[in-house]
Amino acid sequence: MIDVSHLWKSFGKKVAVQDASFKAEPGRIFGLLGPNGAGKTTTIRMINDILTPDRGEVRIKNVIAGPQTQKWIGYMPEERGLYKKMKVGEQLLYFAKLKGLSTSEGKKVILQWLERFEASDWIKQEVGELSKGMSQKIQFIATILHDPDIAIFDEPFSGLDPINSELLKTVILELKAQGKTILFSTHRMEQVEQMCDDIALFNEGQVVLTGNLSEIKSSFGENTVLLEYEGDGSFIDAIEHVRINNRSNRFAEIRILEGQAASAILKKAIEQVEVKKFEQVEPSLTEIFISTVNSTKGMGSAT
Amino acid sequence: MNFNKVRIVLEREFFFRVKTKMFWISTLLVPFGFALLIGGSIAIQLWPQGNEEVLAIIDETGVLSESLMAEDENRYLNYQGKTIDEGKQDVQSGTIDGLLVLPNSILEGEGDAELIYKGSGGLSLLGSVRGDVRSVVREKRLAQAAITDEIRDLFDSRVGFTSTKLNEEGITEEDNTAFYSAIGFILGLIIFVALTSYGTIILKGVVEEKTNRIIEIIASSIKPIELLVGKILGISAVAIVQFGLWAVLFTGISAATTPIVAFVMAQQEGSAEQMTSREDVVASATNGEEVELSQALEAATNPSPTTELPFQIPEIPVSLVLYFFLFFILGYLLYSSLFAAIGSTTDATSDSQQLMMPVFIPIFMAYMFNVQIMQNPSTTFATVVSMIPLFTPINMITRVAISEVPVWQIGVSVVLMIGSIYGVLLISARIYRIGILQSGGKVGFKDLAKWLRQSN
Repeated sequence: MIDVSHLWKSFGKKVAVQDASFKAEPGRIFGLLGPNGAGKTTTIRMINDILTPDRGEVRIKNVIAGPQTQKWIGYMPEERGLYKKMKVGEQLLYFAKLKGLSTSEGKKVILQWLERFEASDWIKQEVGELSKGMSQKIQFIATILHDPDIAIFDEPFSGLDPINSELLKTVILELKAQGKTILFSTHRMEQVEQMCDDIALFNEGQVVLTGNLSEIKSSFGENTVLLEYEGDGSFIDAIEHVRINNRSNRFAEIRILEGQAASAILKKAIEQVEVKKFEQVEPSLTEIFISTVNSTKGMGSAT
Repeated sequence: MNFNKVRIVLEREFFFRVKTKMFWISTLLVPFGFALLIGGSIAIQLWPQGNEEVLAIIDETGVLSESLMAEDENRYLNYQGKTIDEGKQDVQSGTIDGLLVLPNSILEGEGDAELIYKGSGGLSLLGSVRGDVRSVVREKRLAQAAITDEIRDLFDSRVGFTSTKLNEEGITEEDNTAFYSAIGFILGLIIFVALTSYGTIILKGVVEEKTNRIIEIIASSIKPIELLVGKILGISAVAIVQFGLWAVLFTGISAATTPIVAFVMAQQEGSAEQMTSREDVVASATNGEEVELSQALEAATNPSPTTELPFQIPEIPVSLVLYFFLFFILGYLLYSSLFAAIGSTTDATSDSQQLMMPVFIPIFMAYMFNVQIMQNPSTTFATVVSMIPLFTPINMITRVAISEVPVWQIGVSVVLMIGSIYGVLLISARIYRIGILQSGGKVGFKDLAKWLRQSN
């Protein structure tokens, strides 16, 4: 549905995206993942035909990104905004028309969505008069009111209040159930774990890892130990050949590296603290990200 | 470019602005403000130029004070017998406004008449006293020199001078150069104001879309050039509607107020006649136009809607109105894309000041050239300047109003303008499409040069 292949984009001397390739399929949620400045937004803008790639191409439903494919996409940018002085209804109608709906079609779907979000009363109000949460709802409606086959959200949960976060999650899952292609970007790994079927990990403009999330995880094996304990946990710092993620004074997520074994860690733990829980699991996405970035860096310095 | 999308943007820009209260307030207030301005300046012109200052004369010659008092009995007062010091005291205490000392030697052409006053009255007082003294002294000296009446008549006689314009068909017409010069300058001024104000509207609109972060949603639906063109056309539609309404309102207001003005002016003339010199008042009221006094008096005694002004307003040719709209629209199109490009480079209006200067400079320059062009509309300077696209909208309309501009010059200037609108639009669009997505950081001219080369 969204086919990104060998995409390059630079601004002046800065290379924002380097040879990025991935595919997002219908009925699935695709997560673009990576720290700020990794090239996620630039990639999304190229998918939306806001920017043109220097090299490579974006295909939407097998059509190269352009005015035609823009109609198929609903896009909610990270920096969200509406015309403050325009009335809610008029504003939504404007966006609907820009996406190719007729005035009457537009009016019909706007009423449906406003009702769905319990926002019908706002139709004649100026956006500037609405609360932040209310205008966020209007923003969702603006994104999907033309019933696009593809929905793209850039950092959708940033700045949302908990109610709207839940609402957006529900809407995204509904869209997925309807067989739409959903792509969103985030720098918060736990959101991806909860929602995404497929991911692409971005680092410094490159896709360092892409594919089915559960396959990726299992390919890393059960090389992580979750340890819950009571007592003095300082022995954990002394363990060699591990990487410790997500540490608190009663919990540690320990990634086992070469030269270390889970059983050895268990033995040490029993000697030092009261072990409440010891579990061997697949690595978290944070861990996957760190180890992938490290290994590509290693490759880079080796060659 | 997808013109359907351009139309959607155009409609939004147009209806959004036309629906605001500000649009209607400014549309309604401007003509009334203008009418007040015009009415006010006519009223000031007609206001009796009262000789409110009282001047006492100490006349050492003994022969001049009488003639001066005959010039203006309300102003001059004879202080015969008083000393200069006593007179000065009276000036100090304010019993009189000034003391005019005429030394004996003045009749020999040597001494100076001296006015001692507190400084109120200004230039017009000084001017009129100087005139009065000069004519009285000259009169006396001519009499002393025993000049014959014949020679004096020679000096007094006026040399008649009228100007007649010969138009293309060889038909002579009355020359109303003064009137058309004023019209030409006003039309240039209107375009000047319109370019800056509608240009600023465009700029603010672009900045708003950037600061409110709407631009990215819009850019995911249409091309920047479509947004740019839709915006420019939408606001030009606003401008046309506004000017249309103004034209209607002006016609209405002037139709309604003409009888009133005529009545007031005729009243003025009626009373002026009883005063001293009616010619002066009439002349100052009408700027030397031909006066049909009887008509005005008739109007005064019989005010009816059909009353006409006591002087003739030369006709404004339809072609001039059409040229005005042509140059206004072309000028707007040229400048608005520049303003849009600048707006796209900034996040806040205050940031854009530095970049706005280069756009305002040519507009102001054209305005300053106009002061020259109004007086000499056919010089090489005027011709060249009015054909430079950035100056054409303001300078050409002034020339067209005042003089017969050869058709080829208008043609060339229009072609040059259309060409540069196209060129500027292309350049602006390149800046715009990159600028609108840029956020944070000041943009300088170096960046602009870089953007022109960069693909988006």
